[in-house]
Amino acid sequence: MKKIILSLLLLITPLAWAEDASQIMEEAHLANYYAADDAKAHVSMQIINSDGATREREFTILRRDVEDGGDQWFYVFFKKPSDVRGMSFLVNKHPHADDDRWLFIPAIKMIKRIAASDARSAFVGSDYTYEDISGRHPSSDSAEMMTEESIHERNTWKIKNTPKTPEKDYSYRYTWVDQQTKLILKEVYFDAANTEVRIFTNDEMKEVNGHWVGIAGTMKNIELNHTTKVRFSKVELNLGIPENIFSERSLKSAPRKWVR
Amino acid sequence: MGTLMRLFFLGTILWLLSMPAYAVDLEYNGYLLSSNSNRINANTLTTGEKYNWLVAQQQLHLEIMAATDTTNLIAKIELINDSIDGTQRIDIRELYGEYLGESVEFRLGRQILTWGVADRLFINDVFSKDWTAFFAGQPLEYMKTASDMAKISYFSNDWDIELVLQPTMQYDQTPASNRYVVFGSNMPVQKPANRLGNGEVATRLHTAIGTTDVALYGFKGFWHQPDKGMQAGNIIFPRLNNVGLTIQDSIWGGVLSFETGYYQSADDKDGKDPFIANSQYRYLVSYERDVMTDVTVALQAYGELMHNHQDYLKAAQAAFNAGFGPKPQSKHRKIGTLNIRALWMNQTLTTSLFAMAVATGGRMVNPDVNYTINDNFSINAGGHIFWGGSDSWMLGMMKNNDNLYVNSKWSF
Repeated sequence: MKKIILSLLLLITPLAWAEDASQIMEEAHLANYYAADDAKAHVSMQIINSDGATREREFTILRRDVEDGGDQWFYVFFKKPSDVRGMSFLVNKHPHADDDRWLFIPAIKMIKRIAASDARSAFVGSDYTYEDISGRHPSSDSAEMMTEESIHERNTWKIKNTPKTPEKDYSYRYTWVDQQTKLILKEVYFDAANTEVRIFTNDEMKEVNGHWVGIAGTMKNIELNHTTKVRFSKVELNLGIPENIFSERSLKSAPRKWVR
Repeated sequence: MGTLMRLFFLGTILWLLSMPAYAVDLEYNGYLLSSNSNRINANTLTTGEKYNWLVAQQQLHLEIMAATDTTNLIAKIELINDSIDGTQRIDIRELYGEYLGESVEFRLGRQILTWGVADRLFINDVFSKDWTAFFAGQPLEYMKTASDMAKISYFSNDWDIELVLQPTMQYDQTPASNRYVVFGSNMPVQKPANRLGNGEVATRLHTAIGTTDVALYGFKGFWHQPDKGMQAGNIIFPRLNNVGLTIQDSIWGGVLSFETGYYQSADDKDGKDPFIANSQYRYLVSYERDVMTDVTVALQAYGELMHNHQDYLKAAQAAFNAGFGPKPQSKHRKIGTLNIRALWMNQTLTTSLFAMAVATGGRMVNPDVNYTINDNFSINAGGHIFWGGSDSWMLGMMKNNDNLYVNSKWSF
């Protein structure tokens, strides 16, 4: 009898873990991309090429959630470098459809609506993709629990995520989710030959208004030996950013109160 | 200096004096730009000179912004050295003050505005252009020139409206015969007199229906192109009214746009006057999408449908036969454009190919490469090749002005 129970347990366990892995990725998605109802941060980005030459980007990002796990609005106002200063970018993210995106070009005061079918293209020439910035919906992947590991003395789940529709720049990735905060601490992308192609690490996190947020991260493209470091400062949550901030008006004249 | 500018300066001084110093944020930045474009056709200019430079200039562009929570003062000033004729000048590219209220904004001064959804073709964008800069390959923003205007905007939660008042009209800069090999561009130009009633009014009402951007436009002013009117051997700018519409949305992974406008030539409503352009419908349909990562393709189909073409044709054909005018345009002038743009090397290198074709023959291709060496320094090179047709539209006139250009920019 014991044997039967044991073998049943053995059969059931992988199923339970599979469910857990998807569940954990759902929770990680909410913790990483939907903390509180809105957010504001000042972002500085260093893009470092294989020769060590560095390009910098500085922008303020505002986020407002329409629904947890669902649609979101993003507004980005660029401050550096000089040739993109004053540019602004508005995104209405739809997790299950193409996003709506608008770009404002200050030199000619023009709003340009831009095509958004390629979520894997690079965000402002960095090693982060648009999807890395706004969040890949967990339903796009099948998640499989691998093991539990410790990263910097924090307990994590290591989960294998395989895109349900193949992506051109990687085949699968391992995601390490912090058990306490549900933040992603590390992510390694592999190609079909099981070679590492890209590595994300969460370098620092902080508690803001009861929510844990990553405030420093590194994305490294191994093949190109190209790295982007990101640091968030002045992170604020639940500010009550009005809905009308995410509009054509803000593209044309930055809402100074919110982007300062 | 116009009355508007004088009022503007006075207002600015009062504004600065009324502000406690700590409440004002001051920012400045700018760039040094060198623009060079060389005509590669062998033709001699109609002036007899053999210049081959379309542009050879160095400019220092300075931007200063003083801002409080509800007011902005912006100055963009350029010091320009023209190496072709050895002259220097100061150009006030933009200079305006603005008040940003809860739901109302006022902007007064010299400013640039861009309306509509088209790329390098214009229907509801009734503001002045610089085609000279465009054809010489200067950075694309120089295709738009500023105008002295007052702009009032009102924003509700569901829609917003802009109303633009220009006390004087400002016509487009078109390739002139001192630099370009062009036909008939040395006729004297007569601008509408500076008086009340000769101003221009433009308005744009914008809303979003779901994810679709919809805008309605209205304009009462003048034609801005020099080929729209002639009187006693002078180029004149007849009156023009326009009502228009744009619709834009994301669809099939790309962006689909539609634009239309009815250009009523108010000084020749029935199209009988052979020296004044006829009324016309303009329309544009365009589609843009990524075909692979960092490669975007955009297609535009544009048309102008002329009213009372028969009367126009009779007069224009007679002028053409007598050697006075360009070949008459067809009733339905159709223009297509293709733009392929690709980003390389972590988006530091941009290559693009812009091609434009008029159905009756005029063609242009503009390959362009832009390399951002670092955050401060970028270099841009390309060319314009024209061929086919002698349509009265600009492409036909440009066929002896093939050029290669190099621009370099250092930003600070």
